[in-house]
Amino acid sequence: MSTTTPHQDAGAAHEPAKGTAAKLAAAWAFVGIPLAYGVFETARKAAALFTG
Amino acid sequence: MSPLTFLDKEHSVAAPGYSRWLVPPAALAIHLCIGQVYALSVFKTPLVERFDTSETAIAIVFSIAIVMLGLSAAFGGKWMERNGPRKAMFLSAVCFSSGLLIGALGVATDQLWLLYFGYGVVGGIGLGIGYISPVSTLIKWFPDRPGLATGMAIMGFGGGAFIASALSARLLSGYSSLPADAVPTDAIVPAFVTLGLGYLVFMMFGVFTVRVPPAGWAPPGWTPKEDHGNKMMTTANVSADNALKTRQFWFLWTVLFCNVTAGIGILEQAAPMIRDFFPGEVTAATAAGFVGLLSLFNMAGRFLWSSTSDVIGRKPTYMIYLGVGAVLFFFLATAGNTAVPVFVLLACVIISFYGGGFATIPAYLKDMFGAFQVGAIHGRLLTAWSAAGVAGPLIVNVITDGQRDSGVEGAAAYRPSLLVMVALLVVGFVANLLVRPVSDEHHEPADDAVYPAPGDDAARRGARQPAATTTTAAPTTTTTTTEARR
Repeated sequence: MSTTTPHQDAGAAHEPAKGTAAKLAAAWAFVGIPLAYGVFETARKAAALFTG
Repeated sequence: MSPLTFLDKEHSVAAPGYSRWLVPPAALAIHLCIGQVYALSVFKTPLVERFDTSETAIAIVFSIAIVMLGLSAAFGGKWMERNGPRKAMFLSAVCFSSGLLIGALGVATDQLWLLYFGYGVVGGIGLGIGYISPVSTLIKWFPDRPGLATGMAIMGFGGGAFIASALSARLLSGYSSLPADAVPTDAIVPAFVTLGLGYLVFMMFGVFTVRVPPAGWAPPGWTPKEDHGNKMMTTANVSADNALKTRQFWFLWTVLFCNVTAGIGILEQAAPMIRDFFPGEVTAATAAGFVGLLSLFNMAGRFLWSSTSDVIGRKPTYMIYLGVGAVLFFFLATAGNTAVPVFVLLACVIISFYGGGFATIPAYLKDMFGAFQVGAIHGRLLTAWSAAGVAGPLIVNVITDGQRDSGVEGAAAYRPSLLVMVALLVVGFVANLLVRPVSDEHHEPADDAVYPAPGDDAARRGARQPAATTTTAAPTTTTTTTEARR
């Protein structure tokens, strides 16, 4: 009986490939920067609630 | 070979070393763009001036887009499940971008119907397919934290409106050669074209980044919760067609409908409502700030509450949204006018529940129906959103206008409609209480894996997954766990 499961095979995907950290940083920055810009602009508008 | 074969599900399987944390940014790339639809109001006045027509005629563009969102999500879900997220995201990007470009052509040629067709119909299809495109994939990558994963993506839909609102205003003022105090009618076309092309590029990042997990993939060390006695999290699967035949689907439809109707009722009336609650005390600028604050809570609620549902469970989370929500609505109706901070606090928490309701529902569906066709089931459930989009504003406007016609003014004019929302939330609360695990008769055959191989229709037809030969003690697929239960 085989002791290797498909999950363990697929588990190779758990070993991060070379450059994964850089890819992750770039991907999150790509979506995070515009989102932060949008949130900042909205927060600026919302500040009017507290400043009158 | 077609150059577009890279879009096929078979060609988007993750290679070894792929990090699942790349999937949320891919999903966000889609949702941050299609969230633009909620910022369409920035173009409202310029479009009214440009076409020399009524506000209602321009508001129809938004209505068509939302109706098409619901229809394409409902009817495109199974196609999306068959063809995978990459093809769906590509279709969404092409439709949404084309919608803006066709809309620009309509504006340039003074053809309002072309704007309806472009932004409304074509763009609306992009909205619906784009909204559901990453959900199923995220759930399959994050079976351990589905609420967190879908919360991140659906948060992007709210965040997309922030980006588009600020960006569109800048584009309109930047492209316009008219005086600063004039309505920038000359800038609509270049702004639409810029947004259309920009969004196409941005969404393509999602297309190229997204991957589906290999067959049988599961996070290291993760086992389905059912094995720990949580019967509200199935490891079986229900098809999209069968889901419609279950009471659970319609209870959840009611839950979403009630939660969204109540939330939209406030969102749609937020600015005039706070001014009517505090006449002379709240200026137009302050009211606009209140609307902005609500948007932030709407977005934050999507992420925070949905993530929390992974810890406390989906049913208790909706008990909070609907039960605590009903209590807060009651206080808003009866004591909301005591002080501005009280009103703002109550409204912000309520709106965070509204956002949370949207973001948590895919994970609830996964708990009830499994991951097999959860994207398609989610698409069909979104018809509740479309219905609530009509019901929410209608309830508030009709009842409040009726009150005013009777001479009731200020906060008192809103009280009956807010109490109707309390009743609606109670109905939703009861519907949530009635949600029970789906009966075995609706389950797919046990041979179907939770994570079927891409394009693996053979698996659906009964070909046994190799997981059946596993010797591992940790069951990580339906095949193994279902058999273990027998």
